[in-house]
Amino acid sequence: MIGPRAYSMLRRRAGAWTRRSLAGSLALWGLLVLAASNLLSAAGLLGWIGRAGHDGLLLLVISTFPLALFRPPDPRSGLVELRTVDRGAVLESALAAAPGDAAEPLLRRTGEGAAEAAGRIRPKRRPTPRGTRFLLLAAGGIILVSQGTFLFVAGRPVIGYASLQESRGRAEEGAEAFARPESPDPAEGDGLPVPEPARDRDPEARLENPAERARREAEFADLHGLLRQDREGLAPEPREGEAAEEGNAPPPAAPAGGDGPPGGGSGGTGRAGAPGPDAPAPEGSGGAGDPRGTGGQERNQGPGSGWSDSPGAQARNAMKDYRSAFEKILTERTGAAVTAGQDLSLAETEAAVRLYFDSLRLRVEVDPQEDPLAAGLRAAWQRLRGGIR
Amino acid sequence: MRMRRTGRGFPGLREGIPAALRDAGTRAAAILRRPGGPVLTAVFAAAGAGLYPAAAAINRFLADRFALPFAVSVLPEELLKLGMAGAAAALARRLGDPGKGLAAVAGATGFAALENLAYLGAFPGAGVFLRLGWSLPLHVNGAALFALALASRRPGAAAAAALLASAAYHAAFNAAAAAAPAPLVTAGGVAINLVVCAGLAFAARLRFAWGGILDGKPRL
Repeated sequence: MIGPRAYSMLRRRAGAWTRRSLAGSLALWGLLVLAASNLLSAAGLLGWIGRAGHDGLLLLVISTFPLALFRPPDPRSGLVELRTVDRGAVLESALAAAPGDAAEPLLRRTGEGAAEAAGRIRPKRRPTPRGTRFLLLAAGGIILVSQGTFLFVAGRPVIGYASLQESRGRAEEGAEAFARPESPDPAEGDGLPVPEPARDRDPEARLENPAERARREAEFADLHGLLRQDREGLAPEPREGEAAEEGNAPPPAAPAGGDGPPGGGSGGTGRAGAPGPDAPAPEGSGGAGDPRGTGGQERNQGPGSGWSDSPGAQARNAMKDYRSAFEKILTERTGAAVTAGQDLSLAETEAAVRLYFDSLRLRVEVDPQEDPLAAGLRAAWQRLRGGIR
Repeated sequence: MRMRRTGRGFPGLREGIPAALRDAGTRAAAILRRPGGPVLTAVFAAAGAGLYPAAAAINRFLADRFALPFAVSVLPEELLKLGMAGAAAALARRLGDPGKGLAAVAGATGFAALENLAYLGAFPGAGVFLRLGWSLPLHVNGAALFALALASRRPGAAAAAALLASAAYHAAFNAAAAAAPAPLVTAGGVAINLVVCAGLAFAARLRFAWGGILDGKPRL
């Protein structure tokens, strides 16, 4: 039997050893799971497994944490730890002594002294076993190589499921916004701005928030359509909730379902007079009128959104819309550093345009062309009328 | 003639093969006896995973034929886990290493992992990962409690108490999950589960590595 001081020292030692042991097991498990997760991400990136497979395997891998926590310890580990502080085997002898043994009181008293001395001994740090070191190195190597490869292939570190197909899909989806039927073909070379195709390959573009990307593309589509309408003299189509102007049919509806391509929320930029009766107003999620899908809400409801949806405003002006949209984008992109000036109002702009183009206006005075036969008939008729009177 | 030559030419072959087999057996036994041996862990994990369809079938059988309270549904699972812990404890006694009883935890891990995979198949999505903090520790805590109880001085009484405690704990979490708890309650449940799990892991490691010393009975 051992005394209270020795027992207390042993409990402290045992608690410290158990905490260290658990922390080590958990750390090793965490590193191994991280390495396995990297391997799964790499497999996803290579197209070897899909999302379901990745999630299932990751679930299995993470499920192993109880194995690390409840790994059966070496039954001799406590004794080995005890012998590091009990060099003279006094405590061990005291523990082994049966109650009533002649040596027990002596061992107990000596053990109390040994425990006091052992309490001052700092536990020696044990070297990591060779197998554990190998595992640690392997896991660290896998993580480093995987993340390096991800940086090289995907342009960013990858945690969790990653797939090249999904990235490509997003890029193609973004390009669809500019390939609508009413958008001009860049090959025609009409001078309209076209989106940069290389933008999707830009690593920064890939890092962009999808919502931000959709909003940006929708704004670009707005500018694109407005500019085109202005050039071709097409009247902008009415927005959702507005009455169609005379002669202008409602725009064709976007395909229902899904989020739709960015820019779909604008209701399309269809030509005036496009078939309307068979184009019902879109309803529900994913429809062209649904603002949730494409960031159209921002453009529809924002006070400076470029669409004169403010109360009382009915007249549409493509130039005004374009300018407002441009101001909005410029302000968002440049922040407070650069802002569109407010000095040049719309009336002033129109006056300036009128003044500028007025000098180019052609004025030709042309006498009305007189038909001799008609003139003779008119004279004869007047004569006849005069004779009757 | 040729056969006789072969026998003369390789005199150690007939003796070498049995020796190699004996050596392999010794090595396998050594691996099996090693603390936390991977073979033992794998065997119990597979056995635990195999218990999941059995538990599901029993639960379905009971639900189809009897109008039992919801809390009763945990009993088949807990009883199966207790049986697995009993098998692990018996093996540990035979091997002379009480720590081997923790192989029951590997069985519970296999059970919960297969259950989680079944849920992932039924409800694909990231929400299934929440079960790693909800249902997985639930099963593991029960098995660890059984293992500790069966390694105690009075295993019968301790195991009965552990069964009651584990079933009540399991039923409480099942009832909470069925009530669609708020995120804060869910986070609290996960935290309780993990804290209990860490506490049991600490107790188990302390018990099976230092138990003899702290009890005054070191195995010299």
